[in-house]
Amino acid sequence: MLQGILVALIGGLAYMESRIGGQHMLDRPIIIGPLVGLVMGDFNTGLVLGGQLELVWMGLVGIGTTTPPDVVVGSALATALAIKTGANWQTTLTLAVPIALIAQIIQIAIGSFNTVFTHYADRQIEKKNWKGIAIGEWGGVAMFFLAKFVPILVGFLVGTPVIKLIVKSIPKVIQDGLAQSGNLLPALGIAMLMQLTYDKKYAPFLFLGFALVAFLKVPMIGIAMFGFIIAYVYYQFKPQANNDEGELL
Amino acid sequence: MDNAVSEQKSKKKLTKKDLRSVMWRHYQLLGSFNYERQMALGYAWSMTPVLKRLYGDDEEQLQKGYQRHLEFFNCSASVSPMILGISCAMEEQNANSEDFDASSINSVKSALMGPLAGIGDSMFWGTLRVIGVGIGAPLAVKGSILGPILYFLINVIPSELLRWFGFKLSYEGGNKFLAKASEDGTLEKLTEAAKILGLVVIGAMIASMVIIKVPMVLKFGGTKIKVQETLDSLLPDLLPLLLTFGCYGLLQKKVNGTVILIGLIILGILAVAVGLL
Repeated sequence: MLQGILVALIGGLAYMESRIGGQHMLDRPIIIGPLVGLVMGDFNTGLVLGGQLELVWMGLVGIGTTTPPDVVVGSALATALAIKTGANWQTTLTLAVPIALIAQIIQIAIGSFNTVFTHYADRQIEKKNWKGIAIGEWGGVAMFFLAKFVPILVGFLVGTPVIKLIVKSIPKVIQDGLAQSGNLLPALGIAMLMQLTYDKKYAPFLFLGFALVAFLKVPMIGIAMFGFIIAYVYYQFKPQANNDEGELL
Repeated sequence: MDNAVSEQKSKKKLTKKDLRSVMWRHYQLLGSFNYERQMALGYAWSMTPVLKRLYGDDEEQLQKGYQRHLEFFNCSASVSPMILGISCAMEEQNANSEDFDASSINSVKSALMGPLAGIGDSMFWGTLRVIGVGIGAPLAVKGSILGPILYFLINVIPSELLRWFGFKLSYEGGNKFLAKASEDGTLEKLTEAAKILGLVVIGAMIASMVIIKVPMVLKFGGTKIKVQETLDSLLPDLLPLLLTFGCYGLLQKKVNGTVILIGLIILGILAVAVGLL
């Protein structure tokens, strides 16, 4: 029970970073995993699971109004249950997916419900009650926190026996298959990242990065440096949009 | 210069403490986020110290100020302080000048939030976070605590620098600069540069993170062909490239990401069952 509360707190607080902490992208599996590992008494497994879940889910981000499957609830709960039941990370992932989907519905419901607080603030300002702003703001915060805390806690308490049963009944072929699936899944994460930035015009830059690794095995920090230099050169030499468009093309 | 004296008398000035207080509150911009007016309440919350300082003695003005900032707002968190800084400067002007057009405060907000969100999203979501994952996640998977730590630093440090400097600059007269940068395409160029950096890293991820090794050996009479070696001689990491573009193509065709995820899991199991992987 205490462990469950702590795990739910980690999920809730990590999520609060994106609400009242300035959104530095810290409500992610790579951060949540190790913290959950810490309270579950197996830091290292949490760290590894967090890294794996991050690779798969790195493309799942809520920019603007889109609400993706709930990575926070999914990774906190799946990591905790995996450590508790001794499941491997591929099994963990197959658990995390349905969990994240259910939690996504809660998230959308909260995002809609919270309009209530803006309208409340409108009315209070109309009445010159300035405290309405603070109440509306923190009311929303409280709802967001509960939207993570409650599902994680409930899932933790209900989930363990169910998971143990599932893990025991998975045949060997499926387990090996899942291990391979784990290597394929980053393709989806990367494809989701591509949706943010990729189009034909920019294709060469993606293939440049690919070729640097495929042929030259440049490590990721080197890739970041190459990328930075190319972006800088591009910025310097591209003419301003309004005047001389296309002068260098 | 005629009314310099009378202005001096009534001049309302924001203190450093007010401005710092706005900055601390801006971290809570998303606190009451909703689909309808998005960050509106967070914006009004952030502007509270400034509004109270400037209009604290005039309830009508204070009310109008709050109503102004309860309008729709949405931007990228790390670049929002630049807009807040301008709002602070403009509110200050408004409080000190009879004929200042208060509606221009919101026009500037809405003119800037689009372009700045574009650059903020591509810099922080599409570039720095991607680099952070690219460096951090493989380390974490290998069990190194450096993974999450590097991820943390890569995401927090540039963002914090931009927030505090951006706020300071925009309050101290960045208004004109930003409007110009938005108009003449500088912001657009920066967005593009960030996209390019992101794409180089994403391309590298395809080769380094999607792992497909085919153990299968084909026999034709006496000759054995190792499938993986043949593929590698065509193009190293060809299969990861194809798989990633396959996923991208499906996503472009509006296939749900979760459906693809389940498909990949099934693909992995089937491939092992038939000996392909």
